[in-house]
Amino acid sequence: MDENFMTADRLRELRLLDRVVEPFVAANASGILVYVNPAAGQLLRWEPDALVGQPLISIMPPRMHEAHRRGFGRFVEGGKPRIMGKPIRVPALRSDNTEIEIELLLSTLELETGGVVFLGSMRARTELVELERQSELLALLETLLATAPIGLAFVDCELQYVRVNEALAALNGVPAEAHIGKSLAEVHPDFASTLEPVYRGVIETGLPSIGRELRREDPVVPGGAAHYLASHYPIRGARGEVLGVGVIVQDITERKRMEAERELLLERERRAHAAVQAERQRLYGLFMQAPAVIAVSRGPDHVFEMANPAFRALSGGVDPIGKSLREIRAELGRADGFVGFHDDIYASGQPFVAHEYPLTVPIDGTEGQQVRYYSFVIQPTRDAEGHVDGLLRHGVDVTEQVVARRRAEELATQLGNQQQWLEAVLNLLPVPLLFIEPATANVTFANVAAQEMAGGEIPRFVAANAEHTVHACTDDEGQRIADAEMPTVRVARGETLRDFTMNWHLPQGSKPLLLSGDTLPSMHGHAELAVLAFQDISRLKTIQAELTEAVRVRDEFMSVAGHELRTPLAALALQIQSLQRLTGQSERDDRIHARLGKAIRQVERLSELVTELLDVSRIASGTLELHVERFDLAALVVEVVARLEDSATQAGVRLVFNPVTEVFGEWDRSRIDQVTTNLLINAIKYGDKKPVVVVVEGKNDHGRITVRDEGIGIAHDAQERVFERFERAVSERHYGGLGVGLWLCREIVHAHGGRIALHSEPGVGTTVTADFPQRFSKEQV
Amino acid sequence: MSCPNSILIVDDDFDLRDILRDVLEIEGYAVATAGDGNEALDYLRTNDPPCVILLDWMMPRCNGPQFRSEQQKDATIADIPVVLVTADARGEEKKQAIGVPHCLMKPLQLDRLLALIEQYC
Repeated sequence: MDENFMTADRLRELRLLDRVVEPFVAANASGILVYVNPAAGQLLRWEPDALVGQPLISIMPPRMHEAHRRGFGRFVEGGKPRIMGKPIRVPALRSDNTEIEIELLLSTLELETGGVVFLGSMRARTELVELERQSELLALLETLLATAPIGLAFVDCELQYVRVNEALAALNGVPAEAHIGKSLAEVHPDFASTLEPVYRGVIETGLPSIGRELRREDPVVPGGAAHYLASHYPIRGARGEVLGVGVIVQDITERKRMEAERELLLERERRAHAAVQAERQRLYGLFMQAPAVIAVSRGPDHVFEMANPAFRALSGGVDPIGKSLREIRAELGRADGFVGFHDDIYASGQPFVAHEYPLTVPIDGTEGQQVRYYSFVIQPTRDAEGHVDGLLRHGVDVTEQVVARRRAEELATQLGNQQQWLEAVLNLLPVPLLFIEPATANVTFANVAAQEMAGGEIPRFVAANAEHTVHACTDDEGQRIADAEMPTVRVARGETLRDFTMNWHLPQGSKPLLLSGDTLPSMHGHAELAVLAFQDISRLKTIQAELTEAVRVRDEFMSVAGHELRTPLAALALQIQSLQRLTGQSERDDRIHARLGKAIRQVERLSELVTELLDVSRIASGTLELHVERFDLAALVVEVVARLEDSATQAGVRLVFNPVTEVFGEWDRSRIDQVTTNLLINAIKYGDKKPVVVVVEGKNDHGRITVRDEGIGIAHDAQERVFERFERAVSERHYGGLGVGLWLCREIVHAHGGRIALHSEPGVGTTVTADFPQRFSKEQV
Repeated sequence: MSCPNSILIVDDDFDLRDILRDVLEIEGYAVATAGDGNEALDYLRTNDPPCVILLDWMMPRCNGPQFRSEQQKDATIADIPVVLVTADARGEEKKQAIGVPHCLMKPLQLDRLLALIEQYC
């Protein structure tokens, strides 16, 4: 194999050096260059391929050729597989025959593809000098970075810290080494969202961000705020590409705090200043707009230095400032004792006070004058030594009050006259009356009738409640009436009383009273007033009690009488029936039997009347008791109709009842029987020999009985009272009975919680409807 | 054993008691009378039991309910049938109150009275 030339394949490994920035050359054992990388080509100013195949001496000055041959021969003969030589400084020859001093480092390289080459790494001496200079600079920068009192850092394009100085580490509260290789988000989880856009902006635009103020929660002091002034610069590579971002951070937290404190102090000062200004303005406004007359003069000549518009108006529009009182009076054409009066006050040092003092003053906007009343003070003012040095005048126009008071006095006189007249009228009334003051419940007037009833004068202007009343009051149950519930107090607080009853216990005895009271609104100059009128109802009470007792005695008598009447009736009926059974079969006995039958019917009729009387007394005394059971209303009506069939036939009336359905409910059987019987008896009695129709139905949880006749009917004006006791719509001469039938019906229906209604047309007929709830409930009743 | 065709009338009204006895005797019954509940109890404890008792409600000293209460306590007379006779309209409730099966209202319907007595005698 020709050692002078290497095949391309064998040199492939050396081609790896093509991309290295350091210059490299390789030679074979014959001293022939077999490889020159582009960096070496550039250093030696040769096309690399032009040098390949040339002897090594081609890139050496001629004076070095001999030394090279010796040295290279020794080097080759040495045969050491690897030589790690020291760098040696030698001159190199460029293609343009210029020389360049280089540092050469030789070594051997065994190729994997076989063979050995000698490899020379070259570095231009000038480049080394530059590197040293740069190294020194770098050391300086490192020192600066480490010792700078401001935060410095380098962040790459992935937003990861590459370098961080101690100052910035302290600001972040994270050791410097803990930054390295970490992203912004990892180092500042709370702050990354603020920082990242800034960094990205610098990376994307390549433009620096200078002097940006940033604020974050202080990472070192919990709860505090940290302020920074940060600048971000793009750091560029050799080709101008952005490699990352350089950061300069200055902690301005303290500066910010100072600024905030200063701003706070400034704001306080501004506010205080504004408050003082406002206060001054307000005082001045008060002085100028005060409805009072205010003026201040100085010195014994009373030269005015301050006067408000009200004072100027009082002075006829003359501007008094800088003028003496004498000059002002002269200007007004008044040379009177007014000035001497002020001189006296000044000399004595004693203030002058006047109330409702009449002054003649000009009328605004006219030539006229009017008298107005002023209350005023002329007060001497004193200097630091206590000597009088001026006069302060302060006056208030009290004309309106003076006029109003005089008017009120006139009105009071008029009202007093009216009051006297009214009281005289009320004293003539026979009805006792009290006037009560709403606010206090004081009696302000009691007429003669009231005083007579009280047995003496009711003291005026004394609260008329129970505490202040010598005589106690009790309610209808005899309980003492509490103060707050006394009628006088109730009307005083605005209640309206109608027919309130109570007992007034007087030394001469108790009086039951009926009271009414109300509030009279203020009118015609009189204040609002509560009025209480009362009436002695002793007589009324007595009559009422007598009536109640009379009714009770009557009802008791009727009850006893009814019961007592029945017993002889029972004996009589039994006797007649017994006689009937003793009669034989003869014609004469038949007549006796028939007559005894008529006697029986009379006894039965008498017995029914007694039953009605008993019912009346029972209902009137409130002792009607219902004995409720469940039964069919239709079946009951069937029984009643059957029972009355004979009576109806005798009266020429046909009873029509076609039960359609059962109507069950909870009712008192005998009482519903009584209602149905009464209604049917009435219809038969007043039915005018025409059919009477009975209907039973169940509707809306109610049972209903309707009895309709086509008889004489009831006059409209009598329809209301047929349901009253002992009332009838027709003459008792023509139709018998006690006149309690419909009243009983109504009471029984009501006792069941039901309703009874009557519709009637004279000459056409009458329909009575009774409704009963199907479920009995005492609450309904 | 009850005495056949015998009836005890308990009523404070002498006339009614007398007429009723006449009528029933004519009909062939043996009739005893008592003016109130006490007399009736005395009679029952010293005589053979009647077929039926006609009992008034309202009487002095010992009224119908009181008699009935005493009768029911005394096993020797407790089973004697009783028919209530009253002038009051509330016969149905009264009948239930003292636990008797029948009630007759005053004035009495003779036919009904006889028919009812026949059931017991």
